[in-house]
Amino acid sequence: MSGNNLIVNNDGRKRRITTPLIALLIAVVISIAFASVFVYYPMAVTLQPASPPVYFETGSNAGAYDLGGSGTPYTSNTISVSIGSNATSLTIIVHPTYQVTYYKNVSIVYNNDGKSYKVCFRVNTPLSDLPPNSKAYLYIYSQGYARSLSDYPTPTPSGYLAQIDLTSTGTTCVGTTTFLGYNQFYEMDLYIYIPEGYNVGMTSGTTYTANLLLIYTPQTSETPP
Amino acid sequence: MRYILILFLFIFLFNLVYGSVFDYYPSSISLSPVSPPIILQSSDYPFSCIGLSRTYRGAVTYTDFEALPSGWTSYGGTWSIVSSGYKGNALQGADNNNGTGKASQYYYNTDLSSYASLWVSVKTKLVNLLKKSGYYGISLINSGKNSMYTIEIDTKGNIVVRSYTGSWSTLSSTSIQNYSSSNWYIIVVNYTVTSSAVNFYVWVYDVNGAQVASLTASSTNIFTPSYIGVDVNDVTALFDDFIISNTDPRIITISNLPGSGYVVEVYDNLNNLVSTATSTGSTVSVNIVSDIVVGTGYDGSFTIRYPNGFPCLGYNVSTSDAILGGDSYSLSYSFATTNIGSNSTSAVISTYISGSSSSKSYVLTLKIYNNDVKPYYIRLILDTSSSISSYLTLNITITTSPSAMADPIRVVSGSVINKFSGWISLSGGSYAYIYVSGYYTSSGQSSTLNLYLEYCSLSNENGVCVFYPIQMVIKS
Repeated sequence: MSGNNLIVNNDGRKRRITTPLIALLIAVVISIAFASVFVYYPMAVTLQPASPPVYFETGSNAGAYDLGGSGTPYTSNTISVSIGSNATSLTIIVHPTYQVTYYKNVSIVYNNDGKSYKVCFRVNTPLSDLPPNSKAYLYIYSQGYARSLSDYPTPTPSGYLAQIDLTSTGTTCVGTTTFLGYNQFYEMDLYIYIPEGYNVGMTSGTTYTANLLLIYTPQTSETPP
Repeated sequence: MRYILILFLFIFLFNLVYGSVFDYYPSSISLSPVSPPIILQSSDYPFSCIGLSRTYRGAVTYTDFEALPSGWTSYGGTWSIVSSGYKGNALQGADNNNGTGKASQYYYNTDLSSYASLWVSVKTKLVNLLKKSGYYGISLINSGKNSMYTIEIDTKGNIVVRSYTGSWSTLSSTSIQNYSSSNWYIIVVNYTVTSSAVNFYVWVYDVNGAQVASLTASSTNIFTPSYIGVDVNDVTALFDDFIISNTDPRIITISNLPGSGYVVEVYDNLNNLVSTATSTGSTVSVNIVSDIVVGTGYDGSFTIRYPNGFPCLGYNVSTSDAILGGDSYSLSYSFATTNIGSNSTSAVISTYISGSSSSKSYVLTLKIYNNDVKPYYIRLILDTSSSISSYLTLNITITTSPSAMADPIRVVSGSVINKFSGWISLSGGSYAYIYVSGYYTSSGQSSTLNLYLEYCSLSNENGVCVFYPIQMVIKS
């Protein structure tokens, strides 16, 4: 070593040692700042399951005669509405035909809580392979609202709270300022339009299924994730 | 440490009030399409009856004796209008022996001697005898009013043809079955004057149209009748439904029907059914001998029905006109154009209807067939997108039989009075019709009616409901 920051190599040449020293210094400082020191605060997360405040119920036309039927003796198709054992899941099977087929009040969404809930529907898996220009909607109505369809030649309903397109993915919430209050319910209608001239597997029993989520939250200003 | 606790408490309360809690319930909706249980079909009778026009009238003159007819005069007797007619009023004549042959005549005072052959009919009833026996019926008087033929009922119950040329001569006589002096009888006579004889063909009917006597007679004492009327001889009698015609007045002929099986009904102005007949081809004759001057001599109507019994046309005769025996009418009708959708769940129909309020068209536009086993509840809805002429008055309904019709959609002078039909239950395997009835008050009009056929699996729009579009283009 000769003078500040210089060392002499074996071949007699000199070089500086400043950089390694600085690196060592930083390492020491960092070690001091993030030393393996752990602080433990006590917390408790308690799950206290509650009865579903919002749940499905069958609508007035659940189980009613649907179009068609088969067998000997004849058995009519019915509007099949299956509610899960805790009323938190719903399966609907219907039997539409050409033109507009309308199912009124097949199921309801009931709020049994003391506060209002915002209710949304999310189509995760839409109906697919329906003929071009087919339409399939889930309509949400306030309880007891009188239905009326108009517009020739494909009548459509009006006065609904929400229209959920079952042929495409997306999330649709019911209402923007008024939500599902205590002891109130929404009525769910199904609207199917199948144009004439297409084979939709009526004789082969083809089934088209859409998977949805009903989402509810007391937080009325947020979009559900 | 105190600040840290405050911070935790704030965060806790914030989450409690505005916590982003979302709950997710799974659901699925499945469609299992089925063949249409209700299908539309073309009508069995794709016609629209548009109108009825009279093509011939055989009557030379007629009267129902609701009042003393103008152009008539009496020769002897007392003649007046009384209220005890077969329908409405009647002419009552009482003999005073001051007419031809010591009888009394009341006749149409126009010389008819230009006719070598005519038909005459009258309905008559005895009121009372003025002597031991007498006669009442038709008189055919010569131009000098000193000779006549009479075709009369005698009070012993015979139909008698006599001539009077200074003295009476009986040409022919036959008894009337089950004669009763209190009954009305209809006398029909056809006379033909030839160079060698005057021939008479005579029939007598009761008021039900049943023939109770007939005879033929001939006279070589030849004169052509000039004045024709009624006669009483030693009796007082009533007369109603008088006609002089150059053709058989016992029938009305309807031609140009679409085919066999069509029913023609004749109604009087009191809406009583006078007679009915069913076609075996394009022409039908309706026997109206029971009421040859239909009703009280004015107004009246026709109903023409499809072979399945539904009306095809309602035609009202003007109040200034009458329906008479010997009339001929021709029906005008049009084929309806029907296009059914490829899956029988939509339809476009074009049809003509009457362009006058005197004729009401009825059209069985479409058949609705229930291809399912269970019943469906069906109705029609008129959409506001329809374009309706202000000249149109129309009913549209659903019907399963002529006696089972839903309340109709109603359009009056272009205004929609009722946009919904009533509901009707359609059993499995059965069918109904969409039935249109109405008229324009002007020709050359057109309306486009956009309708839905709505059917539901349960009553009161419960269960599932389906809507089929049906467009009707209705023209005059």
